[in-house]
Amino acid sequence: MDQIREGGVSHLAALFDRHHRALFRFFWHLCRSRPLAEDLTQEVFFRMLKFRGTFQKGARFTPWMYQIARNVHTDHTRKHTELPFRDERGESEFEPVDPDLSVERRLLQASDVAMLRRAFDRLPADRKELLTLARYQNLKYEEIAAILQCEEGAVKTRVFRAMRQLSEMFFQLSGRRAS
Amino acid sequence: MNCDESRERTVDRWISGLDEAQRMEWSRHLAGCAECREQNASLDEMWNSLGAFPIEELGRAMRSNFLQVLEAYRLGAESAGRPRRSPVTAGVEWLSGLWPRQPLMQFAVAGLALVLGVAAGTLLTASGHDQQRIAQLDSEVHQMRQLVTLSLLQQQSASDRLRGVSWSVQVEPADSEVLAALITTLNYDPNVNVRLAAVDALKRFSASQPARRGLREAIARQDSPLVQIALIDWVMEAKDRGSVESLENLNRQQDVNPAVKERIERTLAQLH
Repeated sequence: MDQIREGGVSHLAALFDRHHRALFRFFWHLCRSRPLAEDLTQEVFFRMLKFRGTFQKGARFTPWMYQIARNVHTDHTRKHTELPFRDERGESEFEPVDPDLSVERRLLQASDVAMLRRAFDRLPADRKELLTLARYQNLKYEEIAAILQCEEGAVKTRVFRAMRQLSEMFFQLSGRRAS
Repeated sequence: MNCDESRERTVDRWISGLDEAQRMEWSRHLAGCAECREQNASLDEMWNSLGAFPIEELGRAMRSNFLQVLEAYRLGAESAGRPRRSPVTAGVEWLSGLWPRQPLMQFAVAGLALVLGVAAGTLLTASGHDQQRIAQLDSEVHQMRQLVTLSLLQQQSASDRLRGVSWSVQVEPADSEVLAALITTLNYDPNVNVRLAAVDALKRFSASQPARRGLREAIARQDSPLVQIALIDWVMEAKDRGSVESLENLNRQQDVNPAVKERIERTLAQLH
C-alpha cells in the first residue's frame, strides 16, 4: 500500500489478488447478489486509489480496507432503497419439523439453515455487518475493534448481543422456543 | 467466573479460541450454571450453522474487468503529462479496446462481422432487388447493435454497463435512443468509471446537437472531479463556447476541487 501511496498504481492489482475474495464474501453476505457484491468489491479498490493519501505510513492495511468497504456498503444502501427480503421459496416449501428432535438437531436440517438465513437478513444493518466481520472474515479481535473503532471488550459484548438477537429472530420465525 | 465472563468466553471461543486454563475455568462455571450452559449450547450451534450458508462463486470476468479499468486509469493518469500519440497508434489502440474480453461477446462480434461481410460481398454484385434486401439486412444489424447497447446499459453490474458504453460507439449514425441512454448514464450512473466512459462515447457523437447539449448540461450535474475534468477537456478540444456559462458557474462554487478549478480557468482563458 505504501508503494501505491507513492504513485505506483499498478501495485493495486497485487492487492486486488490478495483481498478481493474476502471482500466479495463480505459484500455477498450483506447483499446476497453476486453482480452487486462484485461491483462493491471493485469500488473498494477504486476508493483505495482515490483516497490512498489517507493511508498512514506503517498503519495496518486490513482495518483500513474494511473501513472503506463499510463506507461503500453504507453509501450503496443510502442510495438504494432496500427491498424487503424475499426468499425464493414459499413458506410452505420448508419441510415440517419433527417436534421430538432437540433444537440442536433441528438446526442441522436444511430448512432451518434457510430459516436462519432469513433471520440473519432481518438483523439491523450494523449487527449483520458485525457478524459478517466476526464469522466470515477470519479477523482477530483487534482488527474488528480497529474497523469498528471501539474497544476489544465492546466487540465481545456486541457479538454476543447480535447472536442472541439472531437466536430470538430465528425462534420467532420458526414459531418455536429455545430449549 | 460469573455469568458475564462466561458470555465473553463463548465469544472468545468463536473468535480467538481458549487456552487450557480458560477452558477449565469456563467448564467449571458451565457445570454449575444451567442457564449459561443452555444458552451457550444454543448459540454455539447457531454460530456453527452460520457457517453452512451457501455462498455464490465469484464471476470469472471480475479480475479481467478490474484490470481493464485499472489499466485505463493508469493510461489516463500517464497521458495527462505526456505528448499526444500519433493518430495511427491511437486508432489501433481504440480498435483493440473495442474487442470484447468475453468469449460470448467475441462470438457475437464475429457473427456480426460475418453478416456484414456477406452483406458487403453481395453489395458488390447486387441487383435492384438484392439492394433492397441488403438495406433491410443493414437495418436489422443496426437494430441489433442498438438493442445490445440499450440492454447492457441497463444491467446492474457496472462492468456490463461499461461494455454497453463501448457498444454504443458502434451504433452509427448516432441513434437518438442510444444518445438518450448515454446521457442518462452520464448523469445518473452511480459508478464513476461508467460515467467517464459515457463522456468518451458522447465525445465521438459531439457533432450531433443532442450529444453536445447532453455534455454541456452534465457539467453542472457532476460531483466527481475525474468526470468534471473529462468534460472540461472536451470543452477545450471541441472549443465549445456554448459551455462557457456552465464552466463559469462551476468555477464559482466553493467546494470545487483545486485541479478542476485550475483546468476551468485555463479552458476559459483559451475560449475568451
